Amino acid sequence: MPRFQPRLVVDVLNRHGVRYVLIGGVAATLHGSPLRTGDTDVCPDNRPDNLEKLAAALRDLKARIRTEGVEGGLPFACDAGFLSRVGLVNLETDAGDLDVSFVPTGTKGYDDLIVNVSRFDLDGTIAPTAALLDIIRSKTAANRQKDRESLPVLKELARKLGLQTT
Amino acid sequence: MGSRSAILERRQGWRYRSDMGTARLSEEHGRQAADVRSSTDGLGRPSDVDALGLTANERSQIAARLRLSPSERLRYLEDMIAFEALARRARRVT
Repeated sequence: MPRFQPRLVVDVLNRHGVRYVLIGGVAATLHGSPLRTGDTDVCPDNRPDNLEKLAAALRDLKARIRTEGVEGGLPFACDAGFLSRVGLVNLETDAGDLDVSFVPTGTKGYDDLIVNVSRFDLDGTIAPTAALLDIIRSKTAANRQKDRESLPVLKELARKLGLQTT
Repeated sequence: MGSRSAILERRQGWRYRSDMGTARLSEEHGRQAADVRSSTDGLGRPSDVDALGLTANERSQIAARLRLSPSERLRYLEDMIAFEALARRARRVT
């Protein structure tokens, strides 16, 4: 049965020592966004040692590649070699849909996002989370319809939090 | 399942994207999923959007949701609500 369990994703990534930052809707929700999301997005560090850890975590989560027409997703060789060749990958996991993006639009990837990272304590689990302004920066660059719809909400949220948006 | 995956990967060039970018799985050289590349239009926009502005990934997610039974949809919604409650309890530590 499909689930949506971002905390389980965070638990597994943390247990494997993966360096990553939560991005997208889950990150926005942690900052206080009222917009509902149904999948988890992460930006991992793409250095080789981290890809080994990430691959192990994804295997624990029973990750399959999400693609239209293949119920349950496609099994794949989940190893550091595969991950080193992808820009991003959309996955189905036991914890729900998980999108792994190494260089989110409008950013330079993990090294960029970790600079301003926020950390949230989720009942004992620490979730490294992209800064709200970085989420806004990425969505502004992506400029899809759903980004344009969400940006006013996120900018208002930033304003209420006293953050300066451009 | 592994052979099914390999067959699909060889026979199809299939594409998928995420919230902040795009990638493509190619069948190049008949190799399995070893040749995924970023694919945007150079402006940070996905190159696989349809006339409605939906990406392949979004279409895939819609199809997956439609396959859910009513009880599964309710469970999914409960998961979302539970995460929102968790987020409200979350304490920012740094």
